[in-house]
Amino acid sequence: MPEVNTGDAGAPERHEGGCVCGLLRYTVHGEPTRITVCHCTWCQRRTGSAFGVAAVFASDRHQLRGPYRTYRHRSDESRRWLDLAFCPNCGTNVGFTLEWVPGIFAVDAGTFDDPSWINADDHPFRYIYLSSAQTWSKPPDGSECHARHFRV
Amino acid sequence: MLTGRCLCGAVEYRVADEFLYSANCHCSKCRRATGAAFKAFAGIERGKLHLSRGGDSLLVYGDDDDASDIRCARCGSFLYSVVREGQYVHVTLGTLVDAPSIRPREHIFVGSMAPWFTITDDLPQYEGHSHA
Repeated sequence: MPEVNTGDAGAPERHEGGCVCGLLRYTVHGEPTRITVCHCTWCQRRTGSAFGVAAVFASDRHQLRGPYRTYRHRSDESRRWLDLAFCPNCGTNVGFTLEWVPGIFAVDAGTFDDPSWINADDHPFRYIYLSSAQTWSKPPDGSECHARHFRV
Repeated sequence: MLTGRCLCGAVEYRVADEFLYSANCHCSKCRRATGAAFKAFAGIERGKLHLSRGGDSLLVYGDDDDASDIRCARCGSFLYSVVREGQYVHVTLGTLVDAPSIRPREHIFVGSMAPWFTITDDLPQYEGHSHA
């Protein structure tokens, strides 16, 4: 593990997270490039919740530690793959990579140890796939919303 | 009966549309377990949920007789939890394929809510359990 928080001026901030049982941990360095709140059916299934919350980092700013299992899902629409990483012991999803956007790791933001360093003022939140959102799940007024993905 | 399933389809369950309660739980464990802002779930007697496929593909975390989280071992999807001394299950709303009659009725453990999340509905909010 590189130690980047040793007082160097300008060293990127480090944040930690992991699964419920603690077997699978990760570190990210610096700030996420964006945070995407995705209401697609795929994210509802994998999380069990109303949406997934992906904090996107460049792959070289994210390190997984500990055993993990992957599941490769192919999008029903695009046929492109997404690889989920989850703990083999407790099953917690900690993030994914995707064929569509190489070079990034999308962290499931709910798995950060400290939820307080992310906030809607400093980090751009985008709400996507609202076309498949639960009727009771609505983004805040004034937020950036897309019926599908912001790239399409 | 409602059908629910995991992302990859290896595990499928059937559950009666007779849920007794439903909530969005913002506690730190539910946030971590879902990776999202909260867990959206609905509670029902355990006997009213049956696995229709994939009973040998379960990832059980915890003590199955008392309290445990049930996921698909192949894709990791969080399907339901066995709770309350094994007598009830909390089904995750995100894995229900068919829409249940019940909707979340309250937000619980908002005292631990992620600061980046904003509640946009008028449902009651409780610092901990609602004791409903």
